[in-house]
Order: sequence, then structure tokens, then C-alpha cells
Amino acid sequence: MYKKILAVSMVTLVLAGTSCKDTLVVEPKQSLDAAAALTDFASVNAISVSLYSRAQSFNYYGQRMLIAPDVLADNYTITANSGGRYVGERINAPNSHIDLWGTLYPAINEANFIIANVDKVSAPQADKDALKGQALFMRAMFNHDMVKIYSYEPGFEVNGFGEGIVLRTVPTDDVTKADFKPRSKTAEVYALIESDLKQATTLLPVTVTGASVFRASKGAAFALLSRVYLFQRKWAEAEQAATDAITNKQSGTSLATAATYIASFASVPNRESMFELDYRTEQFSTVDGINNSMNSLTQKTTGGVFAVKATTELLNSFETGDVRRTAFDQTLDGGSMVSYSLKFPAHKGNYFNNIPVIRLSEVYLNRAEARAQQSKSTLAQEDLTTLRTNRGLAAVPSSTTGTALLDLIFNERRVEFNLEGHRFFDIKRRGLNITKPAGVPTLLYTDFKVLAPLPAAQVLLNPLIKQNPGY
Amino acid sequence: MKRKLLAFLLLGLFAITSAMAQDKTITGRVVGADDGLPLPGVSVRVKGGTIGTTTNGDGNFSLSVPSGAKQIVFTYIGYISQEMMIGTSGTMNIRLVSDSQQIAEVVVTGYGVAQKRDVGSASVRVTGKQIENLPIQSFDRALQGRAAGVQVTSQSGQPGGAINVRVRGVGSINAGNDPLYIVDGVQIKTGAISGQASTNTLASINPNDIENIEVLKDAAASSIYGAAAANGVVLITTKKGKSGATVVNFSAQQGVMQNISRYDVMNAQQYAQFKVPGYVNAGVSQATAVALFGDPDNSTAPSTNWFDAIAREGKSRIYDLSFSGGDAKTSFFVSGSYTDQDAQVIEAFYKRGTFRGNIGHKVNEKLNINANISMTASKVFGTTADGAFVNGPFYYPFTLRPDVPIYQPDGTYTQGAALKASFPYNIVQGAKEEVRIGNALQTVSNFSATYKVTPSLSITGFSGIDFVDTRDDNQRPASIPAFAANGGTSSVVNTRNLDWNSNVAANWNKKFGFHTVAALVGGEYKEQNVESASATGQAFPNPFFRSLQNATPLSIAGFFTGYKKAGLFSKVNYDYKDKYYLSGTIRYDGSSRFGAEKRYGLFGGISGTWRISGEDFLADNKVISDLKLRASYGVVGNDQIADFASRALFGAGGSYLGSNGIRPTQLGNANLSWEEAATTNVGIDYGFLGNRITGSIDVYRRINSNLLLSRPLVSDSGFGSINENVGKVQNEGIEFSLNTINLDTKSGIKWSSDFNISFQRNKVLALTGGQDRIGTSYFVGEPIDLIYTYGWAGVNPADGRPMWYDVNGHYTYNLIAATDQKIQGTRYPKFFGGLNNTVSYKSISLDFLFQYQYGNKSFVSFFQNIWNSGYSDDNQIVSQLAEQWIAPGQITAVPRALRQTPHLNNSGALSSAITTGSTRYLFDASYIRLKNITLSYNLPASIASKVKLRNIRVFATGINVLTFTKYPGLDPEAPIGVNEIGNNPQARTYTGGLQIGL
Repeated sequence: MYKKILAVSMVTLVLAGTSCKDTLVVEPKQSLDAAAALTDFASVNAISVSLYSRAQSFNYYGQRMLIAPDVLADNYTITANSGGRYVGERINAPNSHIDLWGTLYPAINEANFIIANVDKVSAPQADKDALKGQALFMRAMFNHDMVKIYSYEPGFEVNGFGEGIVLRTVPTDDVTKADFKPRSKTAEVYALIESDLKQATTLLPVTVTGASVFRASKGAAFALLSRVYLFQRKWAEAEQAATDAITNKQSGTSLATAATYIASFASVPNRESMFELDYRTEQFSTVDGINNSMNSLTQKTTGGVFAVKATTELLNSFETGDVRRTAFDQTLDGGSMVSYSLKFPAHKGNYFNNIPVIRLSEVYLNRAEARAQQSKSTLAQEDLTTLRTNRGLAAVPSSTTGTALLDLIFNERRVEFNLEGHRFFDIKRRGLNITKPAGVPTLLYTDFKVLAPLPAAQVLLNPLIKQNPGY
Repeated sequence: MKRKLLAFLLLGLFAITSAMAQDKTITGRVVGADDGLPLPGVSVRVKGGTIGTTTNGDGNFSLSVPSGAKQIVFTYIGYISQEMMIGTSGTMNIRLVSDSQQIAEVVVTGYGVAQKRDVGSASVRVTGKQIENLPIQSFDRALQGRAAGVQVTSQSGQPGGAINVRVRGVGSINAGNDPLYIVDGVQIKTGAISGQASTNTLASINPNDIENIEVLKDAAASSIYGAAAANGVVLITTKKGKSGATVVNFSAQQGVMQNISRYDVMNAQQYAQFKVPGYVNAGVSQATAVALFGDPDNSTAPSTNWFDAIAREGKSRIYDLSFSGGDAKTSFFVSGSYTDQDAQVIEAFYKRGTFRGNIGHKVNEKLNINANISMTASKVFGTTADGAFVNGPFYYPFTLRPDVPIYQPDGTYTQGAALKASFPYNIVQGAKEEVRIGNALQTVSNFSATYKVTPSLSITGFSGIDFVDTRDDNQRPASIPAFAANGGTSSVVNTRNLDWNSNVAANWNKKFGFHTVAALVGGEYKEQNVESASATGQAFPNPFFRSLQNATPLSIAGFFTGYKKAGLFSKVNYDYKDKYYLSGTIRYDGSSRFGAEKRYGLFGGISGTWRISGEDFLADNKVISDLKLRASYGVVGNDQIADFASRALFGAGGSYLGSNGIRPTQLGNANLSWEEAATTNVGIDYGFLGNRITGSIDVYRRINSNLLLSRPLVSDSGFGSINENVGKVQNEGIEFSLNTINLDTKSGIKWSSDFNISFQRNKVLALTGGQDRIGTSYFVGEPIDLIYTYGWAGVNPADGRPMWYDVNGHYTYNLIAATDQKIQGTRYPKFFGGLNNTVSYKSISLDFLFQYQYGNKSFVSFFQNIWNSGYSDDNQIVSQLAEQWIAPGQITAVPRALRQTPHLNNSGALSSAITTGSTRYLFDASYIRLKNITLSYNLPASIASKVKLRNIRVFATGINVLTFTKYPGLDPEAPIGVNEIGNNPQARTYTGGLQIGL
């Protein structure tokens, strides 16, 4: 009798399985548990892919970050067929600005995951350094691109409004870390960017193995650092960083000559690239290309959109003989002939091309500006001449000094970097009124629309962050 | 065995010896009145005495009665006892009438032993008899209109397609709302099993194999299922064999499936008559418009009805064969069936074969074993999923231009620009050349053993499996221009779903005088794994090659999900004198889906019942034969959240430089857990006039709390939101059921009716963080499902322009998105139910079921395409031609025909487009539908027996025969929460058949 009970009980128990606590865990397969994702180098390294992938976003270096600064200022304006694109930016309408909040904070969080975990996994130190250096570089770039959109530069605050952006340096690995944080002061933001970049310059190699200029490198970090110093008007530091950037540039990077300038935009990588984003057809479809690519929006092509054209003011900024002036073609738009840039050929397929984010010519212009601001006119002229002679222009006369020299440098930046995301910020960082093409009133520096609004939903949600004035 | 023989021998000896002292022997046969089958084991005894016997396997008995005996009593469980006077004849042939009340007292809980039905809880039952031989593919359709409080809506008219079943309303916003289905104790996964056609897991069970379906509605009844019970529980019990002669049943039926409705769209001339003025009104010259659409006066213009080309009358064949029987120790039910149904759309079909073997065996007096094994293979050729797709048979044909032929003069399909369509896809070619096949192999099987430790204590071990293996094939040949660029595409998806259920439970029953106590204690473990692998290839050498081996590989993909859960449960029932009942259930449940901090929860329910009719003061009441007052309260869970919802996850994170990245995709929430439903139920069960009138009334309130909603996070954290248990929804309602025997005459006319009606009200009580609304989707105080849109104000008689209402209720031409929209209705009905009538005269029986819903709205977004005054070049509904505004002063609902151009208002400003979503496209979808009608005739037994058959029945059945509705869409029985566009409506089915028993 009892034997039978025992037998039946045992059979049924086997049937019923066990139900202790550990059995109630199922591991996902196509995703990784967060803890598991951060235990080996390959996984942490795979997060860096996401950083570059996010940088390619059409809301960022894929399109908007390159076109909007030129339309918000005076380099480009919309065509008759822009399809609603950049209509508000042309006249600096409220809320028509660049909004990177939702695009870049997830990327910053991912960078934080790398920075916080890379030292815990096992791999050769050099590999870990290179990875951490890239994460720091990308975080610095993301933070800097946001602070220049949402905040006044230190020293040029309007009505003393010195709010920067929210700084996140710890990965959000559980919900308690998604706490309300106020905006940090711009000085604190710049301090973090500077320290990230300085650390990146010590960690990054001259070339990340196998990545050419398509991943962040030591030279790129110095180049970005020199740009960041300009925004803070730390001229000596900017000069030094630019020099370091030239010293540490990758062997394949050199200034394009007058003969190779146009071709360099169709070469992979761009001859001048210090840091370039690589695009591939498997990443983006033809539909993406038509609707959102730089090529489709900035050039007149079969099937493309052609949304923005060069302003007369930009075209008039070129000196006679400037090879860069030949990088434009003409087409009919709304009944008149207009010019469009040839900078973004579809050399990577599906209307795509690589995007140079930092070019060597910027480093020279950064140093020229830093030197001119320190009244090192001769050295500044030297840098400027180096660039101009590679663009088919004459050397800078030694008589050009002071404000005239600076004006020349800024005009050089305007024509060199059209459609590369500099124009609006080059005006704003000097506290000047934003010049606009004929027919559109100048945007006063004190106008609230110089700053982009923070996303309204975030301001509603988080009582600790202050919206920008006027919004 | 030997002991048994001995016992029989002794019994026989006793019979012989006692016979010597008797003076009369009565012999006879006992059969069931309903089916004429012999009833073995019927107790046959002399009234007032101890002498008795039981019928043998053929229903025969022989009993010697003392000379003084007057009456013999026949009693059998599940049948009404019968007393017969002993006459002069020595034979008695008895037909016992089954007692539906008594059968209903027993329910299989899924934990081993059949238990006395929970008298204190709200549940509803549909018997296999009610749905026998209906040409339906899954039993859930049979619940429609037959079960109070259970709303069933069809998601697709594809044979074997998906069904929505909602028990007492919708209690969840983001988690699942499907009830828990348990087939012979096996909890099964629900939902679609193919990506190539609308499918339904539950179609693996042959409806003719079902003994009964029990729906547990309140928390007290369902709380034994703990964290899985919040949406109600549907228990399906399949047929078991009875000891006695082997019963064979064979049925065959054949019939047709037809379209229930269609949109009447314009022919070529009507299209020209309508489109040309529309273009002229938009500023295009008459000549240009005529060049585009043809001459409005040409009555002989060739015209194409695209829907006619895609629709058909489908054939339907169903064959079913079963054997059941057994002896004193073993019982069996073995069945096989084959279904072959063409859909109402060309090429689409559904084929299914099922097998079942249900076996019970008594090893000895202590040990019983049971196995229910089934296997189903099905193959479905789908059209596309329902919706606005170019290959959607209930969408695209209505929009294609009637002035375009299907075939070119050379016999090839009209393709490309010649189709004059926004997306050049010839749907007739697509339907004929694209292959969409879903193959499935399924089993829901179990094995159990019950050991009787003592007469009052038994232990049952149970193990069950729910297995689905599917293979989807999709082939898009290059002969279809849309797929030509890739050289044709083929893809194969293999998916395997494996669910293990197992439990062990101890049942204890004891009677102490007037007190009866029954207790159940057990534990359960369940595991589910779903894994799939798929491959896609392109660039076939020519369109005739379809196999992946001829293709260039394009992509491969894989998918996995799964969960585990475990629980401990106990239930105690107590009753005093069969008058006062108390019941309590408690269950402790855990699941891998729940966050680490809240992986286990406690659930339970209590109920109390007072059987008033058991009291002395009603004992002799002529009117009231049964009266019960019930009350229950319980708290259960809804565990239908995503398998890894609580976990912090890294998933696919873009690609760069040829490498694939990962990124955090979900923020973990260790506190994420089940949604909770607390139900209060008060009910009355009544029976009047000897139970000629029976029924129930139930009033309930269910509050679902801890609903999963996403809480927005500061996006600078890197995450936009996190799912948390925060929302609250209330469902309340009243359900009535009334079953009457209206006529039961001596002449053999019988008429009975079953009526039910359910009133429901759904209301959101709380949303995330004290918000009173989430966007335009959910509002506190409103139902979960609501339609938020603009108010349509009609057509301005002066100029034929469309008008709407603005926020202040004034006419406007220019709608403002932020302010002018408001809540305009819900898709939930105010009430719904069914009325079934059975009228029989001797062997002829007519059974018809009306099913209805009232007060539910439906938004027909398809009308934005085909009822838009020619705003788009889609073909249009023909009535617009006659009803369109033409002259000032004309009062009509159809604006002036106008090709897509902004309407200008009086001041020259733009106005909103006619296609703007508004109440113009919102309709009352109340309906009454003659859901089933069956006429059957049982040939007289004398004829049947001549051909050595037990019975012969011929029948004719119709499904969805008539619909009474004002709804202008295709089918008012639209699924909850979905706008109508391209939905595959249900089909009208007529079949005729023959059922043979031997």
C-alpha cells in the first residue's frame, strides 16, 4: 500500500517537475541580458558600433546637422520643391531649429556604458584604451553639438542665461538612474567636454586598427579639442591642440590641392578627413536615400528631392579663382537659374556618400583664428596661406592683420565649410547677429530664437530643467 | 482479474439461489432516450426493497422480483430516474431521459478529478451536442451568442481564421485579453500560427470531439488558475467512451461558402460620369478629364468588376468518423475527421485532418489511467492578412479602376502603368501566382494517473503537451512586375511551439452527517518555448523556380521566446445539508515573466451560496423548483505580458563599417508584474415549473489594476519610457439567461428557447502618474476603446462643400487638430447576446440561433478611399453618383465631386479634405444575425434498423444566413479596436449532410 503511494507520488512529482525559485528564469536569445552584454570585450565593443550608427542619423550628421546651420544663417535657402523641408529654418521661425535631445542622449548613454565597463572586461590594454578613447571622443562630440545648439557660449550669455545641457556620465542601467537632473552650467559642460577629449587624446592611437579615419583617432580628438577651445575663446590652448592634431593626423590625411579639391569629396575617405562617417548600401535603402540623403537634398538629381540651393550671398563670398566656386552646378528652380553644391556625390550608392565630420582644413583655420586672436599675425597668415594656395588663391598679404585678418579667416571658413555644419555656429560663438540672405531680416543675437528650444515634453516632465528663454 | 471472476461467479450463484425463492423474472433493455444507445450499468431495483441488478454492456438486464413487488426503479447518473409498474408482461424496455441539470453539476477542473461544479461561481456551459456538425473550424466560434457575458467576434472570414473572445469585457490595455484555454487539463497557447493567412490555434481541436465547453467568468471560479485567470477561463472537455457496445458515428456534409456582402462600386461609365466632373471642378479641362477617364456618355465602355474576378463560391466538405465504447475496465473514444474548405476568395483554402484517441483504463480498484491524444495537420492557403494591402482581396479590387481590363488583348495580365493604379499590382495575377501557404502540425495531448489512496482521498499526476510545428511558405515570382526587380522572392519560416504542462493534485472528499467537505491541494509547473528560423532567397532563374535551392540567399533570421511558471494551489468546498455552501481558493503563483522583485504572487477567491429551494418553506412549492443565491469575490492575475518585459536588455544596435552593433533596448524593471483583477459577483440561479423555465442572473464588477502602461522617462537618461504596473480599468455588467420549454405536447411537438443578454460598461479609472488622458488614445472615465475624431456636419447645400464641427459646435471648413477632435464613440456594444430556438416534431427538428450586438460603433476607414467624392482616383461606391451635390440648395450627404485639390472656402483660404477622418466614416454597427439554422430529420428507427444502423440523420445547416443591420461596411461583426479597411468578412455557409450511427 505505502509502496504504491510512494511510487505514484514519485511519478507524479517527476511529471510535475520542480518549482523552486531558480527554475523560473528564462534567458532571452535574440537580446542579451544587460549584465551578460557587458562581460566581454566583443560585446562592449559592439556598443561602439551603435555610437557611430547614431551619428549617421538623418537628424544629425546624416543631414540636418550639415544643412540646418547653413539655412539658419545665410549660406543656403530652400528651393521651390523643398516639400516643407527647412521652410521654418529659412526664416528662423520659433521651434525651427536643430533638436538633438532625443537623438543624442541615448547615444551618450551607450558611450557611458562603454566608459563604465570597458575596464572590467579582459582584453589587451591597447584595445581597451582605443575603445574607451572612442567612447570619450563621441561623448564629447555629442555634448558639444548639443551645448552649441541649446546654450550660449560662456561669456556671450544673453541676460546672464548660462544654462547648459543635462550632463549624464553614468550609464542608466536601472530606472532609479533615470532621475530628474537639472541642466548644468555651460562652464561645467565645457569642462566635461574638455576633460573627455584630453583623456581621449591620451587613450586613442593615431589609427584605430583597421578603421582608417572612420573611427575616432588621436588626431581627430585633438582637432575636436581645438574646435571646442575656439568656442571658449581659449586661444592658446586652441592653437596648441590644432598643432597637436596636425602632428598626430593619420598618414593618409593631407590638404587637398586646388587640382584635387572637388575629387576629394568623391574619394573614400576624403583626402582631408580627420574623422569621417562611412555609409554603406546595406545600411540604407534607396527610399532613405531619396527622402533624406545629403545628395538627394542638396543636388539636382534624377529622382532626388533637391531641397536647398546656395544663396547669392554665399556665391558672392568666393574670391575670383577660388577652386571651391567650381564645386557648384546650375539648374532651373522656380523659373530662374540657381546653384547647388557638388560636395555630396552619391559615390556610396543609393544616393549616399561618406560624410567628413572633421577635415584637416578646419584644423588649419582653427589655428589661424587662434593665432590671429593672440595677435600672432604672421603665423596666422602662414596657416591661411597654406590653405588658400591649395584652393587656387593668392597668399595672404602680410599687411592683413587684426580684424581684417579675422574677417578673412571667417570668410574662408564660410566658403570652405558650406554644407558642413559650421556657418550658424561660427557667427553665434562670436556673439554676432545672424546674417541672413536678402529678403529675410537679420536675426539679432539677443533674439530668443538663436537658441533651440528644449523638447517641450521634457520640460513638462522634468521640473528641474529650465526651458530656454522665450519658449 | 481472478478476483473479479470470482465475484461474478458468486453474484451469479446468488442470483440463481435467490431466483429459486422468487416467482417472476423481468428482462429488458435500457437505452438513452436521446440517441437510442444502450446504457450499461443502470441500476435496476425493486422499489422499497433491496433486490436489484445493473444492466450489462448492451443495456440488457434480467431481474427476479418477489411476488409482492409493485414497481421497479431505474436510476442512472446523469439521467432522470424512472419508475415502472410491474405488469403482467415479463419485459420492460426503458428509455431514460438525460437530466441536463444533473450533468451540469460535474466539471473537470484541469486538476485531475471531476469535481462537483462550483455552485457559488459564475460560469456558463455550451455542450458538444449544441455545436455538433456545425461547419465551423474552431469551437470558439460556437460560443458566439450561446454564452452570456462572452463576446465573440470574428477577426477574419478566412476558413480557420482568427477569433476574438472576450469574457466580461476588456480588462487590459497593453497585456493580453484572451481567456485561458484549457483542453482536457492542458493550458494551451492561443493566437495565430501562420504568417501567411489568418489562423487560429484552437482549430486543432475538432469541434465534433468536444463533450462540452465551460467558461469560468468570475474570480471565485477561475482563481484556482491564479496569475493566468484574469481574462476568464475556457475549459474544453473532449468526449470519453462509455462502457457498452461500441458506438460508431459517421457524418459527411458538403456545401458552399459565399460572400456575405460586397461594396457596390462603379462601372466604367459611372466612373467616367463621376470622375470627369470631379476633375473639371478641380480646374482641369473637360477634354483632359475625358482623355483620362473616358467618355461619360459611352454606355458601351468595357468595364471590369475586379471583385467579381477575385471572389467565388467556395466548396466545403467535412467528414467525421468516431468510435466509442469500452468495457468495465477500459473506455475509448477514437475519432478522425477531414475538412476541406475553399474560401470565398479564389485560390484560398483550408484543409485539415484530425485524429484523436481518448483512452481510460482502470488498472485496479485503486488506479486509473487516462490518455487523451490528438494530432492535427492543417494546410491553409491564405490571401493576405486583413488590411489595406494591394494583395488584400477585400481592399484592392474595390479601389482598382473599372475602365482597366484584367487581361490585355493578347491574354497577358494588365501590368505596370497600364493598370493606372497608384501601386501597379494586378490582384488577379497576384492571387493566382503568389503562393502563401501555412502548414501546421499540432497536438494537444495528455496523460494522467489517479490513485485512490482511500475512498475519500485520491492523488492525480498529470502531464500534458501543447505542440505546434508550422512551416510558412511565401513565393513571389518574378512574373509579377512588383517582384521582378529582385528576380522573385521566396521565404520559408519554420516555427516550433512547445508547451509542457504538468501538475500533481490530491483530492479529498468526506461527508460528516450533514456536512460535506471537499479539498484539493496541488502544484503545477508549465514551460513554453517558441523558436523559429527563417530564410529568404531572391533572383530565381525563372518564375517557375520557387525552391530556395534555386535562389540567391538574401537573409536568414531567428527568433526565440519562452517562459516558465509554477504554482501551488488549494481549494476547499464545504456544504451543509446541500443548502449552504462555502468555497475558498488560494493559489501562490510565480512566472519568469515577472520582475525579480515580484516574481511570486498570491491569488484567491471565496464564494458562498444559499440554495433557497432546499429550505423547507419552498419544499412543496409548485412554482419554484430551484432557487439559488450566490455571491463571490476573488483576486486573480493577468500574466499575458511580454516574456522578457521585466528584463534589462541589449538588442540590435545599428551597423557600421560592416559590423553589427548592440545597444540597450529595454530598461529593466524588477518590480514589473502581473495585472490584477478583483471581481465581485452576485447571482441567482432559478428554475420554475419543474425546471421548465431555468436561468441565471449575474451582476458583476471587475476592477483590473496594476495595468501595464509606459511611464515617460526623462529622455536624457537614454530611455523614453518604462513599463510599469499603474493603470486601472473597471468593467461592470449584468447578464441574464433564460431557458424555457415553451411547448411540449403529447403529440410530440416540442419547442424550447435559450435566450441570453449581457449589458457591459467599461471605464478607465486611472492612468500613468495621475494623468487624465494618454494622448488621444485613453481617457480616465471613458472606455478603453474609443474613437477620437472630428464631427462631420454634412454638406453645405449652397456650394456642396464638406463641413465639420469645430470645438464650439459651429460649422467649420478648416479643422484644427489640437482642438476640434473629440470622443465620438466606442466599439464596445452596450449589450449583446443570443436567442436559440429548437422546434421539433417527432423526428424533425429545427434549430436556429440569432446573435446580436447593440450600440457598438465601427469606423470604416476604407470609405476614406472609396466614398470620398472622387478625391482620390480609387474607384468609388456607386451611390455617390446619384447622391452627389450638383445644384445649390440640394440637401445631400455626398459633397460635390472634386478631385484631390484643397477645397477653397469663401475667403479663398484652403479647407480640410473630405478624406479627413471624421464621424462621416463612423457608423452604428448594431446587428442581429441569424447565425446558425439547422434542419434535421431522424429516419425512423424501423427504417434504420432494416439497414442494420442505429440511426440515420439527414441535416441541412446554414451559417451567417441573414444579417439585419444599418451598418454600411462589409461585416458589422468587426473585431474590437480595429477600423474596417480590407477586413475579410465572414462567409455565408450552407451545407447538407448525413449522419449515420451504428
